[in-house]
Amino acid sequence: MTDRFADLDRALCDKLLSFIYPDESNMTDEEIQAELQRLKIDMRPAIERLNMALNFCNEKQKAQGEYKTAREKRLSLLEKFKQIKIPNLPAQRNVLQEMIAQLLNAPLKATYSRKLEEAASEQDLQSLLEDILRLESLNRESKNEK
Amino acid sequence: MDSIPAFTENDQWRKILNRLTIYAQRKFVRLGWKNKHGYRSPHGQDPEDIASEAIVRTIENRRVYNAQRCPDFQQFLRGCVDSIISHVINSPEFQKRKGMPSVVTDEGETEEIQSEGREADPLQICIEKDMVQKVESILEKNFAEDKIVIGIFECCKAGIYKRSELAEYLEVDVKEIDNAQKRLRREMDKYLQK
Repeated sequence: MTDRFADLDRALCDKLLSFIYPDESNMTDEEIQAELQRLKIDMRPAIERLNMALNFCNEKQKAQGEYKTAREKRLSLLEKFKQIKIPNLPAQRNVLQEMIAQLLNAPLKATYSRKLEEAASEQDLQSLLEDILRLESLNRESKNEK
Repeated sequence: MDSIPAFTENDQWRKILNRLTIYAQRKFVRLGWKNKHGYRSPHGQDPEDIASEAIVRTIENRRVYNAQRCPDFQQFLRGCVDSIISHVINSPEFQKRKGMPSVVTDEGETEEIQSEGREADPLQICIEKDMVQKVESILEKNFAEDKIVIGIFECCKAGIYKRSELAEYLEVDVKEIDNAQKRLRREMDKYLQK
């Protein structure tokens, strides 16, 4: 033993290691690439993993955007729905049956026929009547827009 | 991920990943994490695994980047790498495996290294002391007669460790400094694999 290197301490060791393995922040992209090759580090699996995460993130952002648009559209429709003024009509079961048959499209017909069957009070019938009239008004508006 | 730089090309992410991998690899060297398969943590992760994990956590917002608090994005990612590595160091599996390193005293007795009470993380100190001993042993064993390496060592002590400055100070060609660096690295790599 020569003791030539005996005064090696943590700080000096760190400096020496920085010389042997230069700090990446002082290296160019080309030097980084060469260093990876020298170290025989295969970056392909890590790059693949990163790409997967990026794609997933992009898809997630896209879906979040679509969800936001759909939600805004739904809220605006709901607002429109509430603002529609409806005529003051008597909510009779046979009148409602006729309105369902004439004014609503096929899927809504089935839904509202079932709701009519389930309606027990006058309040239920009145609420159904208002819904049908508003729906019909919205349908008419969207047909006119087209 | 509002404040993450909006890199439009995956190539920019790839460059960041490459750079971060080298950063992680340098940390592995200091921790002595190398075996016959290459640089590998006690949990079986390679430097590129740690680097990609740091980026993925950031992209997925599991690590929240705040550009105002840390304007340098690369620096933020280095911090993520440090955190993942620190998690490995502090894991019970690693602590069990990594006993306190020993030294041979002047009397020829084996003695455990005692941590310095003022410092926060005794295990980290042990790892660093272990590494200092390893490096010293490599230097003594292989470079005791290597004038360039001895010169480099002396220069490092004086705060000179840039290639060009070393060459100028030691009055040799930069190529000789590079060759010495290669010799040192070869021995270090060999030793780390043991």
